[in-house]
Amino acid sequence: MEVFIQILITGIVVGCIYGMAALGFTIVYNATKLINFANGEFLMLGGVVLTGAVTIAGLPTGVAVPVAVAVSAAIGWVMQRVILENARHSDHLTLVMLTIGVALALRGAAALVFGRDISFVPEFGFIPLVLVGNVYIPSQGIWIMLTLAVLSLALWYLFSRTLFGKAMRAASQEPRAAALCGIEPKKAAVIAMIMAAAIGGLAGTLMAPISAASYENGIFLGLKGFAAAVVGGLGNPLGAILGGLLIGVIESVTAGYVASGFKDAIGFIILILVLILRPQGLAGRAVISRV
Amino acid sequence: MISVPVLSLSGLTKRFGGIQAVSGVSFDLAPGAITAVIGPNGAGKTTLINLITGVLSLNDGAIRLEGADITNEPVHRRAVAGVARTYQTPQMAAGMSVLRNVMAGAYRFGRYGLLSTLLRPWTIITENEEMAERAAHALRRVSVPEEWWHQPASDLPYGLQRRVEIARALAQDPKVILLDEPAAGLNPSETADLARLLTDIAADGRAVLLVEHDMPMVMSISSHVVVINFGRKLAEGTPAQILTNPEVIAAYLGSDEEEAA
Amino acid sequence: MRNSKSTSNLRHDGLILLGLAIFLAILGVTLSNQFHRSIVVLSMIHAIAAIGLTLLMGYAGQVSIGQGAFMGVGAYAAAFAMQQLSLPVPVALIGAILLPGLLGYVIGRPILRLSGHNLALGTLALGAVFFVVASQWRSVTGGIDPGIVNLPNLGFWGQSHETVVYWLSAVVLLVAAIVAAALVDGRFGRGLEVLRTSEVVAACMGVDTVRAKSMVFAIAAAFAGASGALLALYLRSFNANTFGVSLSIELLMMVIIGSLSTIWGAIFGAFAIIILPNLLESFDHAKLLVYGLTMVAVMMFAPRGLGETLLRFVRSRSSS
Repeated sequence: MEVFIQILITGIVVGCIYGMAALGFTIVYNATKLINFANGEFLMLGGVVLTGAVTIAGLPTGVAVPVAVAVSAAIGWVMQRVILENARHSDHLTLVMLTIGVALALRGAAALVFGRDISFVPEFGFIPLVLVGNVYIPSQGIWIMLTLAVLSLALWYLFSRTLFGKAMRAASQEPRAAALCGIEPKKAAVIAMIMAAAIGGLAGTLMAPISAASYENGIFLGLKGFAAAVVGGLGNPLGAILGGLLIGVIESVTAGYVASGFKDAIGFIILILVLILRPQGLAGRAVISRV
Repeated sequence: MISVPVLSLSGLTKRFGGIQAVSGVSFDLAPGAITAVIGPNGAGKTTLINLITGVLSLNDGAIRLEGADITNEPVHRRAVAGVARTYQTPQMAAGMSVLRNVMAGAYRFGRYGLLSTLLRPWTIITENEEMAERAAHALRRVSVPEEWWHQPASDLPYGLQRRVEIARALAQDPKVILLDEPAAGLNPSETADLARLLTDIAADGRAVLLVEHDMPMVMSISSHVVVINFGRKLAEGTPAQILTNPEVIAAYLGSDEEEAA
Repeated sequence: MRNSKSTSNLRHDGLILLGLAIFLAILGVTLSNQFHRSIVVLSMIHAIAAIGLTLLMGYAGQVSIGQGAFMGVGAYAAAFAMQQLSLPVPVALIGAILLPGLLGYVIGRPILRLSGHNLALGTLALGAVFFVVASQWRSVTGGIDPGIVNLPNLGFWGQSHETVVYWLSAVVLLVAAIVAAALVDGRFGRGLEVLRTSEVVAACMGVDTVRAKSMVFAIAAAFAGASGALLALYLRSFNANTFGVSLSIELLMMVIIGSLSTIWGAIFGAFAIIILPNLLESFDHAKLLVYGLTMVAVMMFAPRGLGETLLRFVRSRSSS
């Protein structure tokens, strides 16, 4: 039982990261109907920029984390303004390939700037680890869970309590209504991408101390994030978070009881199955009735 | 009608959510004749074509092609069985030449399967010649000048695209041809050409279903007219009967004069 | 002849094919530098998978970011057939075409219910699953370390292994090109092109769209299988990393560098993508960055493929 709880906690911590990846993906999708294949790279960037700032520039973690988030957000802004804005009338295939191209370029740039070695940063610290019986919750895990909790509350307030947030959420479905609230679709798209990049970057910094940062991390993290978002029902922020937790826990259980090597495949298999069998997500009806 | 119907529709019903787009529509298409379906915009005419081709599935009703029940057949089987159509806005495949588009229409006449193409690639040489022959025949019939044949179909003037689309349907050598507003956007002389072409196509012995707003053309070339309003069949008869039917005048011709003109 | 122009596509393809055959034959006889030879062999091998991807993406309009996985299936199938079943090379090669083809059909049927970005996601996930399985199913794949090792040396009658694989790859590439050209020039290809624009229009002219899509997915997978098997034969040892997600992305690059409208673009793209990193020594560091920027630029300014757009530009210049 204690082992199971420990596995569960590990899964929830990782699931929080997936949930944040899925959130970015969802926010962009709601604003523009775009599936951003570069979303995972924001997490990668958060990790490698943090590592670079701490190990190369010698910045303290408290400064390095905001720097990493800012760099990621800035890259999201550039990506939207320079590339996607100029291609928004392209067909699906072209847009998909465009974001894959951006993902490759970011990966390549990270490899050039920060090198190809995996690297570690110290935990954020400050919060002590919690020990209950033989079950322990690591300090970084608490950081991660707290961050997602605060983030969820902030996003919930933004999207359901402010006019601005509501307009953004509707920007892709009701561009005119959004425009009436003072949110041009173009502006909504930029803001969404910056938010996604910042959230991704933050998630990347949070997980850097527990799993090494590397320029190659983006693909798998991105796919796990997609899986979480799809499982939760595309476009549903709450579903994205729950989807992330679910996939994190399933992976952790698979690693603990089946075979650790196959844990990565589980999330992807779930993604494929949900896409084919329940494209509206596991909680699909809620999404439909919300519209 | 004395002749046996080619296509027989009985009680076709289609709901979208709670809305009855088509409800209980029944009529027959006779071979060698043009049957027109008229009605105000949103009356369910295009839905009817989508139901006959199988693009939309029926909630209720039955469709018979030469006596055979095709109600549950998938779209492509109905096409192979002899149902062809055109679209309200011409649907030319992007990047394909006019000839290749029309050759694609002859798809069902391929003699060799995919496996044969994989194992004996040269079989396509003779097959392509046959299909090009069919396509050329269809294109001449609808009078698309030969200098256009090798141009990308989507580059053609609108009126010509409409004719290419009819050629593509003819290349299917269909028993039933469903035309969704073929005169829309055509000038009067083009419309007159179209009227002659449709009469000619019916003279092959094909059943022609014409969904159209151009009343003078409908009344001059159709042998049978079905009036649809709010998804229901309002009246059915010869053009003369329809023109004097008070219900039709009230519901359609009267309330929608500018369109009827 | 009245229909001379309708068959001009075939004639045109025939001429290119002849040119390609002569070009490969000359290279095969004259190239003495081992390194240059290996670049040409790798280009030919990748071109086969890229042609398959062109059929799927360019003609049928179905994106796949999992094509590399089917190369992997072909490679492992060939290795398994030779090492564990002791089958001769030709039989192994045929098996390595049929197995991924069959697998492609079985997977294609459900997965092609997806379209657009969902299909891209699904196939990307498929590729990722393959990589995980290939690196974990050690009894068949040998995992990452050692992977598959000690595939036979194919040299015979005094010809080196490299020479034998060169001619074998050239022949397979030419056959693949003939088959692909026939497919796209024939009614199957016309059906696919109509389907790319509209599935409704294709179905209404008698195309069984579900089957056509699964078939083209299977054919693309079979081409990839042949390509992967040849790569395995050539390298003689490989592991799961050879067939990771980045391979699928390189195949995508080959198609968009060439053309989405003709299978010949894939051959051009394969040569370009294999040759460039090998020629520019310092390129390896910046490879991903250059790939990414290139892909972005091509998609923004030449979404039907770079080679094709350049060719059109040159033609319009020379004709005016």
